[in-house]
Amino acid sequence: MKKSVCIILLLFVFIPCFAPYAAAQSWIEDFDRICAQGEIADSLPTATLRELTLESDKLLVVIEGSTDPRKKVFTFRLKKCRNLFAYIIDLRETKDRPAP
Amino acid sequence: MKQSRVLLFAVLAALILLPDTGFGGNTFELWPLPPPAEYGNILIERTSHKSNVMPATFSHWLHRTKYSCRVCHFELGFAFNVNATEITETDNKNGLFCGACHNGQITFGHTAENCDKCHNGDISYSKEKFAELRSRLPKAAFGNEINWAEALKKGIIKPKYSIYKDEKPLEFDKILELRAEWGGISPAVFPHGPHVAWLDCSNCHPDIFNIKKKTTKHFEMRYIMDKKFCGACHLSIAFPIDDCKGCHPKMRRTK
Repeated sequence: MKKSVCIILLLFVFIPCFAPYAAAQSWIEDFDRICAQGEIADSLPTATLRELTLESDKLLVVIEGSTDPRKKVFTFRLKKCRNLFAYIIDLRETKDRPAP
Repeated sequence: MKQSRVLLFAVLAALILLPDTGFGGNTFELWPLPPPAEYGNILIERTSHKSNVMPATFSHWLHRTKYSCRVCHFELGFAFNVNATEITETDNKNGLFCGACHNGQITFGHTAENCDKCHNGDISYSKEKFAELRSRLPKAAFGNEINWAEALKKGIIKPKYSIYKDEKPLEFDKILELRAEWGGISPAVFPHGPHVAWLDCSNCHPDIFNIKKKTTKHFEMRYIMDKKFCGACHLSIAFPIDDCKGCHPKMRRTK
């Protein structure tokens, strides 16, 4: 009985220690998936680019709210990826529009 | 008689105002360039003095032989403008920014005995290494007086494109021809190829170039000289705009 109480207590102590790491792992995976599209961004359909822009916006909120020390680098990179997607959409839309 | 005087005046005015004819000389007030060994060197002084340490010296030419611009200015999150990135000692020790490589494994670490290798306030630090490097790389007329694009193309230097993944530069060499703002100046030619070899698309788009061909506003030399557009790199890091021919290939070189 005592042993199982100890194990449960230990879990209560350790799980919070690993939680930020696990959370970071999850946003890093999302980050990798989104930013990997940067290289092929020009060949992606506009709808996909819009989706990626929205996903980036959501992920930025997650990363900014994280306590991970790497967040400043990852927000910098994610903003760059997000802005590239938005730029290509903008470029396509301008191309289709007659010049003022 | 009056007509010929007007014509003579017009011809003289054109010769003075059109530098491409060779009579106008330098129309732009270009900053004097530092010695080749110091071109592209920066002193990072964000909180150094407050922390009682000398500003950190950073040499672009030294790092460029090992890593592409993309590694630092995309993967590691360094902004293009000096002192614009919030680099702290804790970050470095956590493996961010300089600490991604300066960790005692890839290269010398962020430890007490190595402080003055970076925090020395000396913009000409490691100039001896420069002489050796310059002797074995293709020559150029300005900046470091090294033709970095050619050195990369010929494989004399092999900077890493990524420190995290096995990524290779995009195969994208769309060449843009940009009409000069002044009559008599040959067009500027922008090849994507040599730029994507060093940079990520997102380094330039859309922060520096959010412009569409033929709808470009303010893409003028005076803005470039104010560190906008090409001036973000081609004033003090990549070959300087003193090398007119670098961008306007049909112009006469001035040096």
